[in-house]
Amino acid sequence: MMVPLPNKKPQRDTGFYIKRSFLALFVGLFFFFATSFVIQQTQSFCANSISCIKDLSVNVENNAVGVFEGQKVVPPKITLSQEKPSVKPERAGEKHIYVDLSSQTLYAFQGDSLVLKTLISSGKWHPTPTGDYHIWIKLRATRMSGGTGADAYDLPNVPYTMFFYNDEVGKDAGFSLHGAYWHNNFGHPMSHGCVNMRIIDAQALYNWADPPTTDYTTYATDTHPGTLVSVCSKITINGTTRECIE
Amino acid sequence: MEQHGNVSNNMLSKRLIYLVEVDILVFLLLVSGIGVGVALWENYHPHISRTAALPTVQITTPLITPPVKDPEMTTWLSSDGKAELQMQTVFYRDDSKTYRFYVRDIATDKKKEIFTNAVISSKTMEIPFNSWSPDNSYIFLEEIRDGSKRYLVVKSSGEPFAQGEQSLDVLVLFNKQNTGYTLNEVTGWADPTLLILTTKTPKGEEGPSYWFDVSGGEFIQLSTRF
Repeated sequence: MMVPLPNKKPQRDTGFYIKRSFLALFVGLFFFFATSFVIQQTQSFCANSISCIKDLSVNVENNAVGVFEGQKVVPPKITLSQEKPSVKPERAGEKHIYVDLSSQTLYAFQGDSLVLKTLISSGKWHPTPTGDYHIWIKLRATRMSGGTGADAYDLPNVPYTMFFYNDEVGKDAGFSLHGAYWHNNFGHPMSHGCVNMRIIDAQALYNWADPPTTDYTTYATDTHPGTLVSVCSKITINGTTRECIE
Repeated sequence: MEQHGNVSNNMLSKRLIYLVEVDILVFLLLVSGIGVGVALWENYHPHISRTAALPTVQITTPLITPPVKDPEMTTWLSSDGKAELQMQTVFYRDDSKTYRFYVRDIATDKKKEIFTNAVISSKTMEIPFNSWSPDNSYIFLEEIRDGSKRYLVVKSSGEPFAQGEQSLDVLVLFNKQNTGYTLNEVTGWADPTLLILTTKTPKGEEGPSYWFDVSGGEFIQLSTRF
């Protein structure tokens, strides 16, 4: 005959449950911070999170509302059907874009001829990295977002965007030259790493720079490589000689 | 005899009647001539009223000195290229200048005068690079005297501000705030209504940056320096 064992339950007081809750909380927090740290260490900085992907295409959102510096921003409406890619007569000479971070000035040269000189806004909340880059894609418009807290931004219809990259700063870093409709403070750092320009200047540069614009999304190819972009701490221009100090 | 007397009387009567008729005719001709003469006189001479006194017209020399050379025109496009700000400078003999500002809509080519500012010889006005607000609603201008700048904000529509002012003087309004800092520079626009101001401490060091909300006239101190 089987004698049933008495159903013994250990006596657990309130203190036991409090200790267990604290332990669970501690373990949970440890794993959260550890995972965040590992992710931060493995990820490089991305100038804007939405653009930090390798496959991009033109993105127009005329009814969206943007945010910059905690302020609501209404983007300009873009009607692609009413636009035709601008084809400019080609001049002779290699194209080269220089960005002088010290004077917040952009120069576009073709051979020895200065095609465009204008004020820009480079990185304020994250520095624009110096170096030699090439444009790898041109987008008539795209959405850009990133930053955190009060510096978070989300901007639809960013016009005339030209992403650039090199071996150290990859395509997924999302650095670009583009027009800015949300501020007009050129000549002073004002971006999260990109190079902001007046819309009319960005348009002129977009239509001039390689690869030649064939559609609202244009990739550089082996036969049509992107224009060289040199981001310099300071530039010295003496006649036809240009010295870029990184 | 009596018959002879009757004949003489008849002849005298006829003579008298003849003379009276001639006199009447001459009188009528004379009156008609005078009437025609007066009518011709009135017709060919300007009418001057002899009863009303003529008003006295006082001719004075104009106070404005005539311009000494052709006006100069400076233009500046908005960031989106949809509007153009034009600054016309009129120079006077005493070196004073009048600046007239116009806004031209590029699509319609319509032009409107929005602001005028007359300045003495030592002052000049300039259009800064970031003059236009991002939505083209406002414009800020620089008035320079001996290297120091005064910043004026106007509406691109030419309409006055809430208190009826045609322009806002940023320096005067900032000084009224008694922040303890001096205005260093207005650099541009953070958004369609927020101007960015940099300041200096009384020791000349870099002070905090401010936003000036042109729609509400408020100054907002920032934690970030621009």
